[in-house]
Amino acid sequence: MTLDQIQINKTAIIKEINAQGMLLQKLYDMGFIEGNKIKMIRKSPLQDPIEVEILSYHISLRIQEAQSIKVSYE
Amino acid sequence: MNNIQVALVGQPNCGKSTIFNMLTNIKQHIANYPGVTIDKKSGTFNYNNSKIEVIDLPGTYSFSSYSVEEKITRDYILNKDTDIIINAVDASNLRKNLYLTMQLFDMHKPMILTFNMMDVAKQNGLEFDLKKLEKLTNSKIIQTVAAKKEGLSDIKDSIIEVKKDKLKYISNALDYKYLQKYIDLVKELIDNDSFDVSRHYISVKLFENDQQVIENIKKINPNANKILDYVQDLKNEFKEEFNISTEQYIVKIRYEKADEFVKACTVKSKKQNRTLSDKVDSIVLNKYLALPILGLIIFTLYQLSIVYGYELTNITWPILAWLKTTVISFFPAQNIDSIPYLTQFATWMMNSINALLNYLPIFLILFFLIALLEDVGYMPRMAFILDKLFVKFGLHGESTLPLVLSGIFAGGCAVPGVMATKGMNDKRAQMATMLTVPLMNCLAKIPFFTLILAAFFKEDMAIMMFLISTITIFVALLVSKLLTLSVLKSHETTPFIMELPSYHIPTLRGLLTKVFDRIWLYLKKIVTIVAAVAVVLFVLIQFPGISKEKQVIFNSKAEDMQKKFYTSIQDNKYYSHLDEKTELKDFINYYNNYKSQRMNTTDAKTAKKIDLVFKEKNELFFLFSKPKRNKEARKINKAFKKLIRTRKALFREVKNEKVENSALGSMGKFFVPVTQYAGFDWKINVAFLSSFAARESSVATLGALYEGNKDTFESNSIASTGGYSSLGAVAIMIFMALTPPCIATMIMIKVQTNSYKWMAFAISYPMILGLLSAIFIFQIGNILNLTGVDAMIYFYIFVVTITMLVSLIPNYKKEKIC
Repeated sequence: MTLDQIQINKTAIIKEINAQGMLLQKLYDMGFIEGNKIKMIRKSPLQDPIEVEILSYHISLRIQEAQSIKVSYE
Repeated sequence: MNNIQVALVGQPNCGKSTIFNMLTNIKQHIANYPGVTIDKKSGTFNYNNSKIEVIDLPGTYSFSSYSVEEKITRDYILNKDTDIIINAVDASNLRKNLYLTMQLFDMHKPMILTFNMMDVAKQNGLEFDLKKLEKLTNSKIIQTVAAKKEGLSDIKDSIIEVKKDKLKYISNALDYKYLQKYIDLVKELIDNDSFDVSRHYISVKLFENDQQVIENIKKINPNANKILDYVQDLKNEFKEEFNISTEQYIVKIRYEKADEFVKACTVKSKKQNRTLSDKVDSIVLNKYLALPILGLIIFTLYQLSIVYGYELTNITWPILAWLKTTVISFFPAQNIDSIPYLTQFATWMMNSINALLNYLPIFLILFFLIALLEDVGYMPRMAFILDKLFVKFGLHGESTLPLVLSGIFAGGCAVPGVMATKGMNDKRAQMATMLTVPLMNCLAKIPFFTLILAAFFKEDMAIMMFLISTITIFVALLVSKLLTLSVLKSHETTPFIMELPSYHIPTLRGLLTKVFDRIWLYLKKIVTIVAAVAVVLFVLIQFPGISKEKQVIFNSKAEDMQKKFYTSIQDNKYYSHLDEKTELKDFINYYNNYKSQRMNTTDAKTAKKIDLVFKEKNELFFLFSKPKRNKEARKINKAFKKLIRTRKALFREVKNEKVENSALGSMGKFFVPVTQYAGFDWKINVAFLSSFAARESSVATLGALYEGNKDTFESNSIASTGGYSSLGAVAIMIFMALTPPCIATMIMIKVQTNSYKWMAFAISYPMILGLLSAIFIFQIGNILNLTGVDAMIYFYIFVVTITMLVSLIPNYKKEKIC
């Protein structure tokens, strides 16, 4: 399952990040690292982007970017 | 004297710039980093026998080598000439800010941490033990509230202190736990001589797989391959043992350490107002409510700034008019048959500058509201809501505000629009936004449209106004998409990974600082340059002037007009008071002055006061101006008014002759071979050319050129004497809707892109686009024999269809490897 598929208000754990370059660095900087918990907060009214909570920060990212992150429920 | 180089580093919005301003005061210097369009702000000050130079580095979240800002920042910090790093930390958002600090620790440079915005932190119920943190991190820590200039001397003192014993303030507080051993192993292999920077830093960066550092090693170190292979082996080993890649582990440790520091130094913490923020967001970002609320906010923004702001200008305009009259009064008085050049020049300049100053009330409100939205934290939400829509056209959720400000519907201004693109993270979307924002409905275009609509489309005014003001949105989206697919193709794009921070209650001081910074930028950049352009335009209109033969004709007309006046009053009992030419001249000036002052007031009290002043100045002239029941004086007044009317008409005729003969007139004519295909004659061309300085002037120029001998300009005259069809009018309006942004906007684009090339592009592409569209409409319309309204509707459908179609083309994505 990828990050964008987490149900709203459910928490999952990051398993793998399949990104490169700037996207990967940006994800790291925002705290997206394997093993971290991530909670789906909501989707934008137009369905994309999404808002997630990680390390108690609220971060928004596009679905396309979220698809590079593999997650699983605990 | 001792030279000290200080680099100021921090995350975006940590109050870094306020610290910089506080330190350097006004002695700032803005230059460019070589080859890139990023401001290099530096400033110097003297303290304690030292000359201290401060560089304000771009705000950044980390020091990878993926973005230009980050590269510049880290190169500058690592430069051996940089003595001390000042790390500005937003105390109200400590953990995130310390994440950057951890990376600075890796660089092994003497550091001063300034805890900024302590007041906001306190407001949020946070308190810190900075002494403890100072011990833990082994760096100098200072508290500041830069906006209130608190902590200024502390910073200065510690710069001197740290410089004295640099080694003491190099922090080694960050150790990478399990990875540290590996880092140390690699460190041994790196010989110090080839690098100015610490070996520890290089070693960490190798485990982070930083491409720039790897390239560097390959270049300098003969054993590079051996080292890199070794690092790779260690990385594999680490991953095997600890089940996490070194890159991620480094990030993890940095966050953990930042957390540890935050916990250690926090004395008092309140549960962050996240819960309240969450509640607000559950409404503001609600599936169904988000768009209506956004619409409501935009509508309120418009209503308050544009509508009420415009009403405010009714109050401020008389002040500007007074300013104009006062300035002009210092210049030579008018002659009977002409106005001295100097006075004409003063009038022209005051008109040009006033046209821009007139917008100040609107900008004041607008800038305040924008600052409010920014400081509250709504901006990223706005981007979150609309991103999907904009991304199809190469724009970004963050493009919402610039587009709104520039006039999505009723009319805005591209100047604040371009200014608002400043904070955008995605460079390509930022360029696309900046280049298309000027296509939106500029407030000053509205009078022009109204004029044309009233002349040609009396019946269909509402629908035409709607079409013309909404077609620009589609054109802007279309252009943005086309630019993204072509000239902007290779521009850097960044992922849309954006923090949605908690809502904040803004401080009034913070808001006002922002407002005045922006107003000041507007005044400094725009008004000065528009003044310069006005001078050029004045020269272009004045020269070469009127031919000798024509001058003779005008002179005799002037003589005629005076003769007529004198014949009609020669039996009057006051005749002797006006028979000298100087007397008549004085009276003309007196009368004009009186009239213009009376025009600026609406309230009876001031009007009475003005009357008194003028009566005192010259009782007789006052009697002629306001004869009341005095029969003889009334005759003078009547004859004089006739003279003034003829004189005005004559001046207008002279002016038209002058414009037609002038350099600007010649330019207008020069373009006719091309513009004729769009149906434009030279007069329209001149109006467009003169609108370059400020749009307002296009209406005035057009009015002057078409009004013939009438005293007041009626919009009908362009329809009756101009020889235009309604189709031609549509072509004119479309051209006006798309033509180049005014000079003020161009300057803003220059300021933001730091490039004359982009400014030139922003000027030229809309002209070509506007002209092609106008020609297209005019030619096709003529062939199909369309009316103006039909042509407009078909063109509208055409543009909307194309816009929808291009939105389906995927954007080219530039993958950046290093």
